[in-house]
Amino acid sequence: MKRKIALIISMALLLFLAACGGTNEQSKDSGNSEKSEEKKVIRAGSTAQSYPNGYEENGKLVGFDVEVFEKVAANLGYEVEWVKSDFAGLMGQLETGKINTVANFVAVTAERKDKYNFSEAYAYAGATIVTHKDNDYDSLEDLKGKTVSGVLGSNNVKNLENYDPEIIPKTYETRDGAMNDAINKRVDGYVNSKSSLIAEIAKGDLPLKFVGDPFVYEDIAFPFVKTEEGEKLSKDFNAEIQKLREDGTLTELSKKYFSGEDITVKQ
Amino acid sequence: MEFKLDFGYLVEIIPELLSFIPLTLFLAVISMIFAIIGGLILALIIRSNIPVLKQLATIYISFFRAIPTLVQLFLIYYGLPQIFPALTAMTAITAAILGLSLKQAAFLAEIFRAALNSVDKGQVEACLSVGMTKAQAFRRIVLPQATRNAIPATSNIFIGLIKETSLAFTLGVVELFAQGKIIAASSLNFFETYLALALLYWFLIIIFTMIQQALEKRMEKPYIS
Repeated sequence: MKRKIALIISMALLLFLAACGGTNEQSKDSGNSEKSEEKKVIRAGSTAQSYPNGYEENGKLVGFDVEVFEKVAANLGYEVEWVKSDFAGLMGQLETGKINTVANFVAVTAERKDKYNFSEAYAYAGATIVTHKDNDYDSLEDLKGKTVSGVLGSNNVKNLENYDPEIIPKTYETRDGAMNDAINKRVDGYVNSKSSLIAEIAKGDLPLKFVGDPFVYEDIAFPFVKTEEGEKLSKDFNAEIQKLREDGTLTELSKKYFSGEDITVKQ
Repeated sequence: MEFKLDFGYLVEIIPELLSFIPLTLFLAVISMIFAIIGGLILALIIRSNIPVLKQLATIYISFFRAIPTLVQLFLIYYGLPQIFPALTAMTAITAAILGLSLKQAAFLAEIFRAALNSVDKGQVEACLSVGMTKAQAFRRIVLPQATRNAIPATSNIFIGLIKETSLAFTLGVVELFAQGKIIAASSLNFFETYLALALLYWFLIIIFTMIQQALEKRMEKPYIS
């Protein structure tokens, strides 16, 4: 009897494994056919939840970073394939080589520089805090001991901690959580890049106001992995970014998405 | 900012969200099929007392019941390829299905074990006494009764699974909830979008509950005199 049960179990196990194997093979096949069809495809990540850097309009991915990336890629003869995921997921995909780069307002930091080959900066971000209109905070000094929301992985939270350890940061997974809690006065402030805040406030007619000036400026660039391919891509991208900067395309795109602000020049 | 619900917007985005239901259902149903097969195998191993296999099954159940699904998906999709480079070819959908079915198999194993135990030992003995083989007794007598007992708890697992598919967005799979987040982020109409999502998930579960009831009614037939 025991032998029979063991036989049934092993058969079922085989079936299960075969079924798993089946899906794996299938996915491999589709991967291969993609590869054979491709001429020159570059895969880029966007959260599709970062207004106005990367968001969807009528079912199409648009935004400042999206458009800059598509322009550069098109000039280099690449077809762009977008991957949408949360920020943490995007960084994971970049690391495992599932995507070539992330076009989502990625700030250049010392830690990230160790890990990735960054292209030249295509924009500059000034981290600023906004607060509800009803609050009377006028400078960052007033926010000592107060809670300020920010987005995971956006680097603004870390900068805020470095700038003033007395401001208590609260991290959220996405911008909407961080922003909505500021609107609902559950936190005293919300930190993000000034350009994004201007665009968000204008779009949603939000009851938020700026507290002081940006406390730190950062370079925004495309990260590539530290491999030969990544190195080559970042070099190719550098040349194109420079061209787009010189012929005014970058400025034009910035003004289009950031209510007339030019975030592609250092302030 | 005074609160007003833009009902027109809620209705407007529903068609767009509807088009993501097939993917959500696909992820949930395929994962459930693998989970049921896996759970049954695990439950049988635990009951059969086969040395080594039984201990392995126990460790499996303990591990997969313990770790958060999101951690598991990260491990499979981002972690495994660093150990086995060949696995980078694995698509996000495959990884999501693999992760969800591995996890739910562990939960189902416990449900199935309880369901199988709920059938009295005396019944198997009676079967053997009238000349059935153990396999026949299992198939004809034990399994139908155990299935009936397992349906409510198994349905709970499936309902949970439908919602857990939204974790696949971290791997880059844009399903129902992910699309909702994307729509909300661009329109800033968070409340309307999430309300639309809530209604859609509710609608899905209502349909599934109907299927569950029909199934239960069928299993109930032999008990109605």
